[in-house]
Amino acid sequence: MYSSVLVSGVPGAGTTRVCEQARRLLGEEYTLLHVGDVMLQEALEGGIATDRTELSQLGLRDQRALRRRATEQIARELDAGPAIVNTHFVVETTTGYIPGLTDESLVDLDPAAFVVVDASDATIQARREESSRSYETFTPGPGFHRQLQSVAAFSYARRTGAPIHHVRNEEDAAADERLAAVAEALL
Amino acid sequence: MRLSRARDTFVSEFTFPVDRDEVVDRLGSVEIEGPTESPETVEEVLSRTGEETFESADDLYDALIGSVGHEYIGRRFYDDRGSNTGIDFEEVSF
Repeated sequence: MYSSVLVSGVPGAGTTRVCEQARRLLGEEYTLLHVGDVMLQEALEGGIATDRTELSQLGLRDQRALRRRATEQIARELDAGPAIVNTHFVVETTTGYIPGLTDESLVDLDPAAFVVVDASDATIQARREESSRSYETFTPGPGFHRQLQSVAAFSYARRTGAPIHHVRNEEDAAADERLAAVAEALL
Repeated sequence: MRLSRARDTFVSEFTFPVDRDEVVDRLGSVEIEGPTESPETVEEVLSRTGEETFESADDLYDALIGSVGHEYIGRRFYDDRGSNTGIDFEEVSF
């Protein structure tokens, strides 16, 4: 089984774009996987949600179970090669913030590193307002979510021994190159 | 191609925005694996969308997910009394 880099950013930090650009900088042996995509596939095949909106509206225990099932599937994908795994270290739900990774998920994914993609509150808020995607379900002002994400990253690092990398995703930051450099160390 | 691997394929194959015709030219014959004995191809699924251009891998992925046939949407875990994921909740911990 190969290793993974687990990447997280609060909604609006630009994590998806950074992961995609980093993936293009890496060789074919790498794979980019999104926990949300795998959860959606599982929910679709299970007949309990057909799109992201329905997925986000599922009950807490369904979301937890889908997340666990998704990380099990991603762990199996790691038999084929190293991966950048885009996930959320903390998930904002309608009932509050919850940890995005369980102890079992951390064992399954065996991460070599954690990457927090970050930007200022003002930048994140501006990106949310400019995006065609809806951020209505998220609390305005990402500050508390960012704080929790940092705490979660440290907690996961403590459990696994894997280091945390802070990747700043402002206009001038070359965040994709920094993430690619972390991933290159997997091989 | 599993749906969960589609984004990686899109990111590797295309520079966005990308026209539907280019997606069909390069990936149209690729079958989408799922809980069906007759998997659909990317071309068949995208023929049900009205989109001519996809601005990002997100857009293309969402179009694919939103247009797969009903045979991909299962009732594997369906239960009208509580959790529908088929996993014993007691097994799930944080």
